[in-house]
Amino acid sequence: MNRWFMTLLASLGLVLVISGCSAKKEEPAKNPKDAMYDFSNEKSFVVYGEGIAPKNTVSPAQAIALAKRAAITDGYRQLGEKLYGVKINSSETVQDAALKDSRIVAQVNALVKDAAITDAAFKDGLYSVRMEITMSARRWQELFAY
Amino acid sequence: MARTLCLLILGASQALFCSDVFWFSYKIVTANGLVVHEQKNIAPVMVPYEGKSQKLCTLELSNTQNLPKEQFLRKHFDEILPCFYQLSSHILSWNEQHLKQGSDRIELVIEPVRFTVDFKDEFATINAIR
Repeated sequence: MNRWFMTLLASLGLVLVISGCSAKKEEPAKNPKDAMYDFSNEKSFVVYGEGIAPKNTVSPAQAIALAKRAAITDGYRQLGEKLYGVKINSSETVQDAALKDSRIVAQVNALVKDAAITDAAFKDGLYSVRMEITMSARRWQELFAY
Repeated sequence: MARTLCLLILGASQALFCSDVFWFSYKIVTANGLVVHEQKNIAPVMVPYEGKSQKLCTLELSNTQNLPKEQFLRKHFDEILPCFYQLSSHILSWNEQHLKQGSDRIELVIEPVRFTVDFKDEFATINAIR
């Protein structure tokens, strides 16, 4: 009786092992190069540019127009930061174990095409624009692969 | 006499073929979020150029006063400017933090591009020529 029981258990275990092995799917090995050239992916970059309305204008309309342009310029700068990166130069001077001087310079040099202004609002002297640019892998290759 | 005639023909042909194509370029500088400098340029193209036309936008603008195109474009520069943002906008930014003080300067340049404007009904269509 005991031997029959042990055989049954062993058979069940064997069936489980075999079924487990057969159920396991073999995933194709991912090639990093294939992922790099997958042109179907698209990614949107969204930024919010802000501009201030100047006080010494001939009319409130002119102040708003100038604030809008400053906001668009700020938005383009932020898109440039995202697409091209920021060059940072920093220097700190420590004297007698105390911070004497600190200077950080951040620079952006970018060329942005096809950015869209998707929303704009003016409130309390601050103009805010929502800007968006869609970047696909193909476009990325065209612009940056050289 | 012959030279004058040649020059006249040349001038007339230039006016005939190039008068509808214009150059556009724009530069704006902001400092700490405020516009400190703005440069708007519209000029007629002096050398004939044949390139591909790319529609930029259609605006609700009509030349009811029959102004010359260049004058009309200069007058409505602010309306047509957003059409050109989508082209090459070159950004130069300089942000400096010195102890508790900060200064921020951004330059945006829309590089020179040829364009045409076509009036139809009450709309003006801006096309870039590249």
